[in-house]
Amino acid sequence: MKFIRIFMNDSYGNEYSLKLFSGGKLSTTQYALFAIQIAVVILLSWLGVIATPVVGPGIGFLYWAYPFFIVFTWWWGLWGVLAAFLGCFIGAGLLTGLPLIPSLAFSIGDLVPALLVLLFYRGFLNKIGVDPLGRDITKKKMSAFWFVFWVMGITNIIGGLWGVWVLVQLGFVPANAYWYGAGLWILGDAIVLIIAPFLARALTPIVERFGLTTKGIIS
Amino acid sequence: MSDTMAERKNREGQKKYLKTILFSAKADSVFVNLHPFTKFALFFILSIAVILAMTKSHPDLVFSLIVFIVVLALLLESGTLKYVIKSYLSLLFVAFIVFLIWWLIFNQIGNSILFSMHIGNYYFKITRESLYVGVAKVFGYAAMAFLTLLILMTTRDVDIVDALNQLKVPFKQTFFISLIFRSLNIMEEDLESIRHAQFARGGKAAKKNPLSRVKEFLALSIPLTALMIKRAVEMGSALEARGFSKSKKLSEPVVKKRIGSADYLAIIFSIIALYISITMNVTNVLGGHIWTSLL
Repeated sequence: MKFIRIFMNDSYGNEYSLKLFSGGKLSTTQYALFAIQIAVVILLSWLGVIATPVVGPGIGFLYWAYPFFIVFTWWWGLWGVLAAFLGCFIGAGLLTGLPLIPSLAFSIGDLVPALLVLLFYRGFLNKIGVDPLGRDITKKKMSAFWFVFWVMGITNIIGGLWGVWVLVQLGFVPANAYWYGAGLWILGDAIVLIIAPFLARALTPIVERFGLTTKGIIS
Repeated sequence: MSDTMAERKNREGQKKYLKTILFSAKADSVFVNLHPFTKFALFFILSIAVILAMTKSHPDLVFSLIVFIVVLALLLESGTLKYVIKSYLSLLFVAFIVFLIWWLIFNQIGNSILFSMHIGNYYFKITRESLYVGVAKVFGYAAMAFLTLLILMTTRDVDIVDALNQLKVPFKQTFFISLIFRSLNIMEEDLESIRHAQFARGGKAAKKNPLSRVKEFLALSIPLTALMIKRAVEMGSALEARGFSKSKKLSEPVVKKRIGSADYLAIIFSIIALYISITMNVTNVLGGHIWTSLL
């Protein structure tokens, strides 16, 4: 119960929180930015599938969009989560020839990790002193631990297990190959996630300076 | 995704090709001129039909093959088959081969052995049954992959906006979606420009080591994100200068698509295909067991 109270508590010392509309109305620049960042994630998801080795049916090894939508989720809350979902659905799904239903089910595998990262960073981790925008991962051991444990570990594993399970259910991946496929998926994503802390450290000050981050999870 | 064919015109000055989400398609094609709702319904219903055919205990190879041939014919009719061959064939070929290999390795079923070998303690065999299942899965996947490409290569972003308007989706949401599709080409060009600039400054081409590729991608990702923010700021100012925040609706499209007889025919075809996929196994009806024994 204590954990849940901490998780749901909105009175953080930090200005970033789990409130829906902390920043008031969205500006036109933010409106354009959120559309463009979704386009970027779609583009990178597409490149992640067509320009990297395909190691299994529907499984590209280096999924370049992953670190981007994690950083975008830190910066822009639910808009980053939406980019994760649409990027996977359109970029890694439809644009590579994966059909509608598999693409939709498959993209849950990106939506859930992004959502869990958002909730944990803006909620619990923010409360215990970890930067919700991921700037301190390369500086503080505790932040690095939570990044490895939560982002590269738990959420990535959930996404990988779900994604390959969907492919098995739809008859794309043989049931016997489930653990092998999931292992490759998780390993590939963990490798590309290495760039997320560097991206956050280099670019967060610029995004903040332009006033483009969302203090709440929508605005 | 950008293509000069989109600009090609005939002697009367009419466009022969229209720019679509992926590449471009014949302006006078029947399939291109179907209503977006019809294309979406066709896409959705046929995908379900093929998935059902693929996931049967004895996958329906003939059904998937028929859908595959129909889709190929539609790609030809819409003038988009050449783009599939030029841009996607090698990618899809690799995907199909990987698909088949996985089904042969991880689906060790059947007793009619065509090939077998020992790799250490692992006994690997290819049987008539496993080969049949593998080929049926590949054709099912191929039918769906080509169907997806057909839809994307014959639909314009304007069609989507028009369809959303007809569904009475609010202006800001519709514009947001159209902005996503329009930004795709812009950001792709930006990404190419950054890569060329890096090569011109001595950046190396892709390496095989995954960690080296991550390092290389990091060098690409920071300018890409910075450029994305710059574009958004510019676009935001341009939108505001045109009174975007006060606007209530999009301007009316020049050509509005209406649902016609070709749309009804396409929907009827897809519903019949779904009905067949649910109620029967076409391969078995046509004597599929005999074919398997011929392998």
